Amino acid sequence: MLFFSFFKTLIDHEVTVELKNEISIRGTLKSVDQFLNIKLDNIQVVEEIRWPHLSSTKNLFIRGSVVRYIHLPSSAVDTALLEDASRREATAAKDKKAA
Amino acid sequence: MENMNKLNVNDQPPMLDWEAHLRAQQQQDHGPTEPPQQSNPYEGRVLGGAVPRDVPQLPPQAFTTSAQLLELVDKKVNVCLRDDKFIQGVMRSYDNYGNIVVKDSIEKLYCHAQKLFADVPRGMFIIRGENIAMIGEIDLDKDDDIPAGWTRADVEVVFPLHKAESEARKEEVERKEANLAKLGFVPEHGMEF
Repeated sequence: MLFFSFFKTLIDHEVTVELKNEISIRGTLKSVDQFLNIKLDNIQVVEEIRWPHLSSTKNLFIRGSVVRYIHLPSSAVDTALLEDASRREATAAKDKKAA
Repeated sequence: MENMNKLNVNDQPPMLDWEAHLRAQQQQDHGPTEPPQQSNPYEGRVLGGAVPRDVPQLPPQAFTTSAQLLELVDKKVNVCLRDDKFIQGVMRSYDNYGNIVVKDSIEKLYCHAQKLFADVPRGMFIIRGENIAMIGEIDLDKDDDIPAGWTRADVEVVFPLHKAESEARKEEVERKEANLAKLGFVPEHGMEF
């Protein structure tokens, strides 16, 4: 659930999503759900000449399982906070296992 | 309340002593049986009672998959399937699994080498949710625009080119992943998981 919460903090930021079929799409992150399906607004395909398929599409709902990478604006990511949260998550998981 | 039960729209309205009636009505409106005016219309109706009014309440469905699909109903949509097919049509229905119904659809065929594209009329599609890679709303103002650098061609011309290209791309992905697998990478199989 950590990354779900993390992506929720990125809502309304501009991100670039790279899919497993090599298309890269840039857009404003509008929504994310538990499967990390994402919704982008005002999308633009990075290599428009190579991928005209989405030229008339204005928003996009992308299934989480077809995403390879999401490029984030580094200014919107608090790395220290994220490290902290993942450590806490790891400790919680370990405690759960031990119990 | 007893009065109410006897009333019927087909009845003739009863002759009333209006002053007495108004007095009775006034007493009923402001009498002790009337619940106090509520400042919060949700109070008593929301689980847990008091909802702080100044905190904006997110609609509970905001982060679910089907809430995103709801917005697309009756819109012209562009669906990309996991096998890289592009289908455009009017989305008419969906369910919790993300299965969708697309009517009056066309399939878009592209030939990248010669920058040609064609539309194939396909009619109605019921698409199983797991096969949908992306789905987006089409901007109707831009719908008829031809993408820069591309040319519309006949289906008979584009279809074989498109087919050959898709097969070539599939082979390339397989070859790439076979090489990556030797180095210990887990194959992605394009989007076909």
